[in-house]
Amino acid sequence: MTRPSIVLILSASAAAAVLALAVTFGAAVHAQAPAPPSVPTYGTSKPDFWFNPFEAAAARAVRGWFASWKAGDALLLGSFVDQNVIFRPNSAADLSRGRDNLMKLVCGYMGGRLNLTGLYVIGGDFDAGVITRWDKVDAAGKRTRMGSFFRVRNDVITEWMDTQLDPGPAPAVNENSEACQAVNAALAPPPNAAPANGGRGGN
Amino acid sequence: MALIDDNVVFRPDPTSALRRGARAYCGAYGFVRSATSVLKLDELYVVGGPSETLVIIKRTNINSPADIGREGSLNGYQVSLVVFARVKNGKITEWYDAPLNKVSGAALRGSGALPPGFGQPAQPAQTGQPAPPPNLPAVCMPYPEGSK
Repeated sequence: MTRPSIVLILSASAAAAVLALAVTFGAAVHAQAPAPPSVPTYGTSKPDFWFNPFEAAAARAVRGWFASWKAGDALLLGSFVDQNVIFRPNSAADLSRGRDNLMKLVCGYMGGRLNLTGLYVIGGDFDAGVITRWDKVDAAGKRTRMGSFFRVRNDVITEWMDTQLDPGPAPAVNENSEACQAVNAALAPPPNAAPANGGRGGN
Repeated sequence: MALIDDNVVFRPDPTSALRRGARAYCGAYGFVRSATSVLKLDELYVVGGPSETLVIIKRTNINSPADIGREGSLNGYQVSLVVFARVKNGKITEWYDAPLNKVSGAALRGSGALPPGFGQPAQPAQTGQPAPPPNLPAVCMPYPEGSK
Protein backbone atom coordinates (compact mmCIF):
# COMPACT_ATOMS: atom_id res chain seq x y z
CA MET A 1 0.00 0.00 0.00
CA THR A 2 1.37 3.40 -0.91
CA ARG A 3 1.92 6.14 1.66
CA PRO A 4 -0.80 8.47 0.21
CA SER A 5 -3.30 5.62 0.46
CA ILE A 6 -2.45 5.07 4.15
CA VAL A 7 -2.73 8.78 4.88
CA LEU A 8 -6.07 8.92 3.09
CA ILE A 9 -7.46 6.00 5.08
CA LEU A 10 -6.20 7.40 8.38
CA SER A 11 -7.63 10.81 7.54
CA ALA A 12 -10.96 9.28 6.63
CA SER A 13 -10.98 7.26 9.87
CA ALA A 14 -10.21 10.34 11.94
CA ALA A 15 -12.87 12.37 10.18
CA ALA A 16 -15.38 9.57 10.74
CA ALA A 17 -14.56 9.39 14.42
CA VAL A 18 -15.03 13.14 14.79
CA LEU A 19 -18.32 12.94 12.93
CA ALA A 20 -19.50 10.11 15.17
CA LEU A 21 -18.65 12.10 18.27
CA ALA A 22 -20.51 15.08 16.91
CA VAL A 23 -23.59 12.97 16.24
CA THR A 24 -23.38 11.38 19.71
CA PHE A 25 -23.24 14.68 21.55
CA GLY A 26 -25.57 16.41 19.15
CA ALA A 27 -26.21 20.03 19.84
CA ALA A 28 -24.05 20.00 22.98
CA VAL A 29 -20.96 19.98 20.81
CA HIS A 30 -20.00 23.31 19.32
CA ALA A 31 -17.32 23.60 16.73
CA GLN A 32 -14.34 25.39 18.25
CA ALA A 33 -12.90 28.15 16.10
CA PRO A 34 -9.17 27.60 15.64
CA ALA A 35 -7.08 29.83 17.90
CA PRO A 36 -5.63 32.76 15.98
CA PRO A 37 -1.90 32.42 15.41
CA SER A 38 0.16 34.12 18.09
CA VAL A 39 1.99 37.04 16.50
CA PRO A 40 4.57 38.72 18.73
CA THR A 41 4.42 42.49 18.96
CA TYR A 42 8.20 42.67 18.53
CA GLY A 43 10.49 41.75 15.65
CA THR A 44 12.12 38.31 15.60
CA SER A 45 13.80 38.40 12.21
CA LYS A 46 15.49 41.09 10.17
CA PRO A 47 16.68 40.59 6.59
CA ASP A 48 19.71 42.57 5.47
CA PHE A 49 17.65 45.04 3.44
CA TRP A 50 16.02 46.24 6.67
CA PHE A 51 19.36 47.13 8.27
CA ASN A 52 19.96 50.78 9.02
CA PRO A 53 23.45 52.09 8.03
CA PHE A 54 24.88 51.39 11.50
CA GLU A 55 23.56 47.84 11.46
CA ALA A 56 24.89 47.26 7.94
CA ALA A 57 28.34 48.45 9.01
CA ALA A 58 28.25 46.24 12.12
CA ALA A 59 27.23 43.19 10.10
CA ARG A 60 30.09 43.85 7.64
CA ALA A 61 32.65 43.96 10.45
CA VAL A 62 31.37 40.74 12.01
CA ARG A 63 31.26 38.93 8.67
CA GLY A 64 34.85 40.09 8.10
CA TRP A 65 35.77 38.65 11.52
CA PHE A 66 34.40 35.23 10.54
CA ALA A 67 35.94 35.30 7.06
CA SER A 68 39.38 36.01 8.49
CA TRP A 69 38.85 33.42 11.27
CA LYS A 70 38.02 30.83 8.62
CA ALA A 71 41.08 31.85 6.60
CA GLY A 72 43.27 31.50 9.69
CA ASP A 73 44.51 35.08 9.30
CA ALA A 74 44.77 36.67 12.74
CA LEU A 75 46.23 39.94 11.45
CA LEU A 76 43.34 40.36 9.01
CA LEU A 77 40.95 39.60 11.84
CA GLY A 78 42.65 42.32 13.87
CA SER A 79 41.82 44.85 11.18
CA PHE A 80 38.14 44.47 12.08
CA VAL A 81 38.82 45.03 15.79
CA ASP A 82 39.18 48.23 17.81
CA GLN A 83 42.53 48.72 19.54
CA ASN A 84 40.79 48.93 22.94
CA VAL A 85 38.44 45.98 22.40
CA ILE A 86 37.12 44.18 25.49
CA PHE A 87 36.59 40.45 25.22
CA ARG A 88 35.85 37.13 26.86
CA PRO A 89 36.92 33.92 25.11
CA ASN A 90 34.00 32.13 26.81
CA SER A 91 31.11 33.10 29.05
CA ALA A 92 32.88 31.96 32.24
CA ALA A 93 35.93 34.16 31.64
CA ASP A 94 36.52 37.63 33.00
CA LEU A 95 36.88 40.63 30.74
CA SER A 96 40.21 41.14 28.98
CA ARG A 97 41.24 44.16 27.02
CA GLY A 98 43.25 45.11 23.95
CA ARG A 99 43.52 44.05 20.29
CA ASP A 100 47.03 42.63 20.65
CA ASN A 101 45.93 40.40 23.52
CA LEU A 102 42.88 39.29 21.55
CA MET A 103 44.95 38.32 18.51
CA LYS A 104 47.42 36.41 20.71
CA LEU A 105 44.48 34.54 22.24
CA VAL A 106 42.47 33.64 19.16
CA CYS A 107 45.37 32.77 16.85
CA GLY A 108 45.62 29.29 18.37
CA TYR A 109 42.00 28.46 17.60
CA MET A 110 41.66 29.92 14.10
CA GLY A 111 41.45 28.21 10.75
CA GLY A 112 39.58 25.09 9.67
CA ARG A 113 35.99 24.71 8.65
CA LEU A 114 33.46 27.19 9.96
CA ASN A 115 29.95 27.93 8.84
CA LEU A 116 28.24 31.18 9.85
CA THR A 117 24.58 30.14 9.95
CA GLY A 118 22.85 33.12 11.57
CA LEU A 119 23.44 36.80 12.35
CA TYR A 120 21.16 39.31 14.05
CA VAL A 121 22.13 42.95 14.54
CA ILE A 122 20.57 45.82 16.51
CA GLY A 123 22.22 49.17 15.98
CA GLY A 124 22.00 52.92 16.38
CA ASP A 125 24.25 55.94 15.88
CA PHE A 126 26.20 55.24 19.10
CA ASP A 127 26.59 51.46 19.25
CA ALA A 128 25.44 48.18 17.71
CA GLY A 129 25.04 44.69 19.17
CA VAL A 130 25.32 41.52 17.12
CA ILE A 131 24.78 37.85 17.95
CA THR A 132 25.75 35.06 15.60
CA ARG A 133 25.17 31.35 15.31
CA TRP A 134 27.96 29.32 13.72
CA ASP A 135 29.29 25.80 13.42
CA LYS A 136 32.85 24.91 14.20
CA VAL A 137 33.95 21.73 12.40
CA ASP A 138 37.12 20.00 13.61
CA ALA A 139 39.61 18.02 11.53
CA ALA A 140 37.61 14.81 12.17
CA GLY A 141 34.44 16.47 10.83
CA LYS A 142 32.74 16.80 14.23
CA ARG A 143 30.39 19.80 14.30
CA THR A 144 30.07 21.96 17.43
CA ARG A 145 27.39 24.66 17.50
CA MET A 146 28.70 27.99 18.71
CA GLY A 147 27.27 31.41 19.51
CA SER A 148 29.05 34.77 19.63
CA PHE A 149 28.23 38.23 20.84
CA PHE A 150 29.79 41.41 19.44
CA ARG A 151 29.49 45.14 19.94
CA VAL A 152 30.49 47.30 17.00
CA ARG A 153 31.10 51.05 16.96
CA ASN A 154 32.44 53.14 14.07
CA ASP A 155 32.77 50.03 11.86
CA VAL A 156 35.11 48.14 14.22
CA ILE A 157 34.43 45.46 16.82
CA THR A 158 34.66 46.88 20.33
CA GLU A 159 33.56 43.76 22.21
CA TRP A 160 33.53 40.00 21.60
CA MET A 161 32.46 36.89 23.47
CA ASP A 162 32.22 33.28 22.25
CA THR A 163 30.20 30.52 23.83
CA GLN A 164 29.76 26.84 23.08
CA LEU A 165 26.09 25.90 22.60
CA ASP A 166 26.71 22.15 22.56
CA PRO A 167 28.15 20.26 25.52
CA GLY A 168 31.66 18.95 25.06
CA PRO A 169 35.31 19.66 25.74
CA ALA A 170 36.77 23.08 25.06
CA PRO A 171 38.38 23.36 21.61
CA ALA A 172 42.05 22.45 21.34
CA VAL A 173 44.52 25.30 21.08
CA ASN A 174 47.59 25.35 18.84
CA GLU A 175 49.91 28.13 19.96
CA ASN A 176 52.43 27.23 17.23
CA SER A 177 49.96 27.68 14.41
CA GLU A 178 50.85 29.79 11.39
CA ALA A 179 48.41 32.43 12.63
CA CYS A 180 50.20 32.64 16.00
CA GLN A 181 53.61 32.84 14.33
CA ALA A 182 52.35 35.72 12.19
CA VAL A 183 50.93 37.49 15.25
CA ASN A 184 54.11 37.01 17.27
CA ALA A 185 56.22 38.34 14.39
CA ALA A 186 53.95 41.35 13.89
CA LEU A 187 53.82 42.24 17.57
CA ALA A 188 57.51 41.70 18.32
CA PRO A 189 59.41 44.95 18.81
CA PRO A 190 61.75 45.83 15.92
CA PRO A 191 65.36 44.75 16.54
CA ASN A 192 66.69 48.31 16.81
CA ALA A 193 63.89 49.50 19.12
CA ALA A 194 64.90 51.47 22.18
CA PRO A 195 64.38 49.59 25.46
CA ALA A 196 61.30 50.55 27.41
CA ASN A 197 63.39 52.17 30.17
CA GLY A 198 65.33 54.32 27.75
CA GLY A 199 68.48 52.22 28.07
CA ARG A 200 69.12 53.24 31.66
CA GLY A 201 69.36 49.63 32.82
CA GLY A 202 68.62 48.58 36.38
CA ASN A 203 65.38 47.08 37.68
CA MET B 1 13.68 38.85 39.96
CA ALA B 2 12.27 35.29 39.94
CA LEU B 3 13.84 34.89 36.50
CA ILE B 4 17.30 36.01 37.60
CA ASP B 5 19.94 33.42 38.49
CA ASP B 6 21.54 33.90 41.93
CA ASN B 7 24.96 34.20 40.29
CA VAL B 8 23.88 36.43 37.43
CA VAL B 9 26.67 38.30 35.65
CA PHE B 10 25.75 41.79 34.52
CA ARG B 11 26.83 45.19 33.31
CA PRO B 12 24.47 48.17 33.37
CA ASP B 13 26.42 49.73 30.48
CA PRO B 14 29.56 49.04 28.45
CA THR B 15 31.78 51.20 30.66
CA SER B 16 31.01 49.10 33.76
CA ALA B 17 33.11 46.26 35.08
CA LEU B 18 31.61 42.78 35.08
CA ARG B 19 29.48 42.49 38.24
CA ARG B 20 27.93 39.40 39.83
CA GLY B 21 25.02 38.37 42.01
CA ALA B 22 21.26 38.87 42.15
CA ARG B 23 21.41 41.48 44.93
CA ALA B 24 23.73 43.78 43.04
CA TYR B 25 21.72 43.20 39.86
CA CYS B 26 18.58 44.34 41.65
CA GLY B 27 20.38 47.45 42.86
CA ALA B 28 21.69 48.31 39.42
CA TYR B 29 18.33 48.20 37.64
CA GLY B 30 16.09 50.72 39.38
CA PHE B 31 14.23 51.31 36.16
CA VAL B 32 12.37 48.00 36.32
CA ARG B 33 10.99 48.84 39.79
CA SER B 34 9.79 52.26 38.78
CA ALA B 35 6.03 52.76 39.02
CA THR B 36 6.05 55.68 36.60
CA SER B 37 8.25 54.41 33.78
CA VAL B 38 7.53 51.73 31.22
CA LEU B 39 9.52 49.81 28.65
CA LYS B 40 8.79 48.49 25.22
CA LEU B 41 10.21 45.32 23.70
CA ASP B 42 11.05 46.06 20.06
CA GLU B 43 13.08 43.09 18.84
CA LEU B 44 14.22 39.72 20.18
CA TYR B 45 16.45 37.05 18.65
CA VAL B 46 17.74 33.84 20.23
CA VAL B 47 20.66 31.51 19.49
CA GLY B 48 20.70 28.41 21.67
CA GLY B 49 21.72 24.84 22.33
CA PRO B 50 21.78 22.33 25.19
CA SER B 51 24.62 24.12 27.01
CA GLU B 52 23.83 27.78 26.58
CA THR B 53 21.40 30.24 25.03
CA LEU B 54 22.24 33.75 23.86
CA VAL B 55 19.57 36.41 23.45
CA ILE B 56 19.72 39.87 21.89
CA ILE B 57 16.93 42.35 22.58
CA LYS B 58 16.11 45.86 21.45
CA ARG B 59 14.32 47.67 24.26
CA THR B 60 13.02 51.20 24.63
CA ASN B 61 12.80 52.73 28.09
CA ILE B 62 10.02 55.31 28.31
CA ASN B 63 10.75 57.50 31.29
CA SER B 64 7.80 58.81 33.31
CA PRO B 65 5.37 59.44 30.44
CA ALA B 66 2.59 60.43 32.87
CA ASP B 67 4.65 63.37 34.14
CA ILE B 68 4.63 65.26 30.84
CA GLY B 69 4.71 68.98 31.51
CA ARG B 70 5.84 68.68 35.12
CA GLU B 71 8.98 70.67 35.84
CA GLY B 72 12.05 68.50 36.21
CA SER B 73 10.33 65.44 34.78
CA LEU B 74 11.81 63.24 32.09
CA ASN B 75 8.54 63.78 30.19
CA GLY B 76 8.39 60.33 28.61
CA TYR B 77 11.96 60.61 27.32
CA GLN B 78 12.77 57.46 25.36
CA VAL B 79 16.08 55.61 25.53
CA SER B 80 16.77 52.77 23.09
CA LEU B 81 19.05 49.99 24.26
CA VAL B 82 20.46 46.77 22.95
CA VAL B 83 20.41 44.06 25.60
CA PHE B 84 22.60 40.99 25.52
CA ALA B 85 21.47 38.14 27.78
CA ARG B 86 22.35 34.53 28.46
CA VAL B 87 19.80 32.00 29.71
CA LYS B 88 20.44 28.61 31.28
CA ASN B 89 17.91 26.24 32.86
CA GLY B 90 15.17 28.84 32.63
CA LYS B 91 17.14 31.49 34.52
CA ILE B 92 18.86 34.59 33.20
CA THR B 93 22.57 34.12 33.87
CA GLU B 94 23.82 37.28 32.17
CA TRP B 95 22.32 40.69 31.43
CA TYR B 96 24.05 43.55 29.68
CA ASP B 97 22.59 46.86 28.53
CA ALA B 98 24.22 49.07 25.92
CA PRO B 99 22.73 52.35 24.69
CA LEU B 100 22.11 52.58 20.95
CA ASN B 101 22.00 56.35 20.53
CA LYS B 102 24.24 59.23 21.52
CA VAL B 103 21.38 61.04 23.23
CA SER B 104 20.69 58.30 25.79
CA GLY B 105 21.56 58.84 29.45
CA ALA B 106 23.83 55.80 29.56
CA ALA B 107 25.78 57.06 26.57
CA LEU B 108 26.26 60.44 28.20
CA ARG B 109 27.21 58.81 31.52
CA GLY B 110 29.73 56.68 29.62
CA SER B 111 31.35 59.79 28.21
CA GLY B 112 31.40 61.42 31.65
CA ALA B 113 28.87 64.12 30.77
CA LEU B 114 26.39 63.07 33.46
CA PRO B 115 26.85 62.10 37.12
CA PRO B 116 26.23 58.43 38.06
CA GLY B 117 22.55 57.78 38.77
CA PHE B 118 21.28 60.74 36.76
CA GLY B 119 17.92 59.99 35.21
CA GLN B 120 17.33 56.86 37.31
CA PRO B 121 13.92 56.81 39.06
CA ALA B 122 14.00 57.39 42.82
CA GLN B 123 13.62 54.27 44.95
CA PRO B 124 10.78 53.89 47.50
CA ALA B 125 11.82 53.86 51.17
CA GLN B 126 11.56 50.47 52.93
CA THR B 127 10.98 49.85 56.65
CA GLY B 128 11.97 46.91 58.87
CA GLN B 129 14.96 46.02 56.71
CA PRO B 130 18.65 46.15 57.61
CA ALA B 131 20.36 49.26 56.36
CA PRO B 132 21.55 48.60 52.82
CA PRO B 133 25.10 49.29 51.72
CA PRO B 134 25.55 52.58 49.88
CA ASN B 135 23.69 52.72 46.54
CA LEU B 136 21.81 49.44 47.19
CA PRO B 137 18.05 49.81 47.81
CA ALA B 138 16.61 47.95 50.80
CA VAL B 139 14.19 46.12 48.52
CA CYS B 140 17.19 44.31 47.03
CA MET B 141 18.62 43.00 50.31
CA PRO B 142 16.65 39.69 50.36
CA TYR B 143 18.32 38.54 47.16
CA PRO B 144 21.53 36.49 47.37
CA GLU B 145 24.85 38.14 46.74
CA GLY B 146 25.94 35.25 44.51
CA SER B 147 29.30 33.54 44.46
CA LYS B 148 32.21 35.68 43.33
